[in-house]
Amino acid sequence: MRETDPRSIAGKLPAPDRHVPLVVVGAGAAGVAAAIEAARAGVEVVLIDEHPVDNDMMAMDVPLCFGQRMDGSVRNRALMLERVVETNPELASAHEAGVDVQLGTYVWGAFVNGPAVQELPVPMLGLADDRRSWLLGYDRLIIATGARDVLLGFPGCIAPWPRAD
Amino acid sequence: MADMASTHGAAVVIVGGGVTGLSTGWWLARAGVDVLVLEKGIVGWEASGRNGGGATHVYSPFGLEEQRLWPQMDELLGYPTEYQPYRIGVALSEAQLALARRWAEIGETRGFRWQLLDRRQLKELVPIVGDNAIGGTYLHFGGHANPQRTVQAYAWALQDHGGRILQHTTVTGLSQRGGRVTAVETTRGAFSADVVVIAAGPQTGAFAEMLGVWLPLAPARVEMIATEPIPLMHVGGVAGNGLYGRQTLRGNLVYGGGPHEWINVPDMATPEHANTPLVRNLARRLAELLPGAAHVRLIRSWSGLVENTPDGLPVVERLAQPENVVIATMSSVGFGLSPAVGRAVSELVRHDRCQFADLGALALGRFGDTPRDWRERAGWTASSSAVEAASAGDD
Repeated sequence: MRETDPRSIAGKLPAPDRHVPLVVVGAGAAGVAAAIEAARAGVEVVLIDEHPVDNDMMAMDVPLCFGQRMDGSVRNRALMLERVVETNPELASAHEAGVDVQLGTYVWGAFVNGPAVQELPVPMLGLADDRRSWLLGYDRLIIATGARDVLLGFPGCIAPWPRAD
Repeated sequence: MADMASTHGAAVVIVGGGVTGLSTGWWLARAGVDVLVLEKGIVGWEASGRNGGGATHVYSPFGLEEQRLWPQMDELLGYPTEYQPYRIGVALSEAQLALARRWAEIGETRGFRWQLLDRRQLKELVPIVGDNAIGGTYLHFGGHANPQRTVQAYAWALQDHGGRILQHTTVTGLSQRGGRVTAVETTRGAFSADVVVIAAGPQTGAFAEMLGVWLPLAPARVEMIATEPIPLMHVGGVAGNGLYGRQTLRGNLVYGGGPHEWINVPDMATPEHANTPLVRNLARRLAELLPGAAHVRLIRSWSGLVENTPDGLPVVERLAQPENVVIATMSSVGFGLSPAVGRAVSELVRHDRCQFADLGALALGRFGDTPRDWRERAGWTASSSAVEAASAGDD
């Protein structure tokens, strides 16, 4: 048993209340298909998507609307949730397959141990909705978020451009 | 390549392009000294360029010079540091108020002015403070700057005076002959030197060991967060609730502070920076400190590595043996003091002594009796899985 510095995080990060073998982030075609396959194979899986995003966040990434807010027609959260499900029928299939579908939920961080971090009891995601934030432990993570203007960066993620010469 | 480089050298070679090495190089270059900074990565890329930016360390032997120099730095360097004067301490409890008062009173003993603020006065100065604040302190001294701007300014100004910087050049050894270090060996050849300055952050201890000198250092990871910008406050240097930080000139609230994690840095490579759920703790404490900004979103988080001596004080010393080496590590508090420390180290290089401050308390001799297992005794060790990961990384 080593001594502990009371001002260090050693031993102070408890495992999240919930831990699942698989989390899929992004409920587009790829993410939903992956989640359904996993569920049918008997894996407990949580599928997370940020949509419907908070009303104040809508159109933030559209330059034409930058600095403005969407009008009242999208302020009904229940209606927005309905629209997300309506436009993505596979979500219903995922739900029927036993996938735990969490909509309107942001993933604000994915944390694992590495050379400079060793105190995490398990790999965990930071999640939030419009009211609170919480942590979710996982064994495996599938990131199927697509790429808008924000790419997931990792060594080798930018492939050499094919050259004609 | 190596043979070509081996013909190069400088009067003074500085190992480490962090804020201490850059400031030292700038002070030397502006005095006309031929200086070369060797940096294994990019200058100021690590803790030097990603810290809270605070410049209020009047308790330090370098404190008075820090306070004298900062208001002049933009003009002296010729580039903007975004230095802003004054600091406001916000207290959410009697204990926090006592701590804020203690810092202010240390300033007072060194000749600086401050005011005790009640909640009404505090909210007039900082409108986003909430009713949970019981009062605060307004320091008419100290301040903060933008670390990224500042390290860039040092690097540019150093080069303007004829100094040289080699990035992506890792120092691998120190050649000694006749009781002196004669050359610095690197991944790009050897560089001869009359005097060598070692200001290598977490790696400083490893270089000291190459010279047979015991310098106990423990690296730790600390984390910071930044919010989207909000309108500028009159005084952007607002801190408290265990947080340090500032409002940037763009308007972002940038804060760190609180728990850290002890880690191992087993070789010359710096481990990749990473965050933990600690950022959520930082965000909560920031929302408590400045409830008027609780709705503002976080847009970034990052971490940095700081090295710490057992007593938390810097080591700034020209060695007795080999006598042409100066060692400088600031034990986590390097940025704000950098204008003064660079000047002190440049004087140790040129004159063998610091002309403006007594550095006696910062000498290495104080660690003569520090046992080799001091980290274990203090509880400052990385977790056991980190030890395994570090040794696995050696393969």
